[in-house]
Amino acid sequence: MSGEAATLDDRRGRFNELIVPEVDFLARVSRSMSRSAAEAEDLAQDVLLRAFRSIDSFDGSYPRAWLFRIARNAAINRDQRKRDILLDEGEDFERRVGEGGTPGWSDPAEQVVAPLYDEVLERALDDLPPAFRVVVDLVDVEGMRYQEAADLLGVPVGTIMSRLHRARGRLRNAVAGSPLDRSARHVAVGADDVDGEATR
Amino acid sequence: MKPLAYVPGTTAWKRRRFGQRCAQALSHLHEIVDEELSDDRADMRLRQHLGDCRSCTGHVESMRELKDAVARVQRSCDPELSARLMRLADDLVHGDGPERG
Repeated sequence: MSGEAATLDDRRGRFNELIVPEVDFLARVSRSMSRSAAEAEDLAQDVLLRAFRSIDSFDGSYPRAWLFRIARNAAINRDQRKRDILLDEGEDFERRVGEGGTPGWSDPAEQVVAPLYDEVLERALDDLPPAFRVVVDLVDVEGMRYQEAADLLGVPVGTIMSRLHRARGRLRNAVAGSPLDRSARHVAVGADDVDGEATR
Repeated sequence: MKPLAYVPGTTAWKRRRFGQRCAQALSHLHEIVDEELSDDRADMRLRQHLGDCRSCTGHVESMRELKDAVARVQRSCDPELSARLMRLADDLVHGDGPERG
């Protein structure tokens, strides 16, 4: 019994302690790096298995950053493998609308049309290039500072800003005119007007 | 003679300066929304302008709503995927999954 068993127990313990709490994060970043729900699931499961197998070599600091790097490398490998394959998995839009309306919309009329807004937005997010979607995910969903996202992705802060500006511009254009488009009040400045103007 | 817009203290000058501040604020809209402004003088002036300008504040609020909506949509994106991943993780932790690579 061995040291191997002990090592396996250690591995399971560390995995449980460090990685399991980040499963939701992994699901989100896998989705942002993928073109479809099915692709995201394959990626996330692949990452989870890789993380389990290499947990011994992980020093335990910043599990999210570690998982993210594994996911990014796996996504790059996947995309290289699939480069010559025409990906057309169809319109895989599973819509999950929470029961009793969407949080954040207090007006009953808004609760009816809010899912439509979310659906348009979700589709627009799906249509973003993965490089843009990942930045939106890190900043808007994970709440990272520009510098943190830049460090994680290994790109300059200016690249983060540029991708974020362009991605949000596309999202805003996509939801413009849809029900509950609150940005319509401020369409005087179009997405392109503010794109890429990180002049500081 | 200089146009009034270039004569300090005139209403036209103030209007022009205000317009310049609006342009600056809009060019830094995302940094404002993401609270990435610094404490330097230029950014302090932007903050001050936002307090005075309803139009710019509207743009900021609009972008902030979009950001919030993105976070809401993404967080609720696929609870089933999270659940399936959690089951796989559970299998790995309890020894039912692949143990070696």
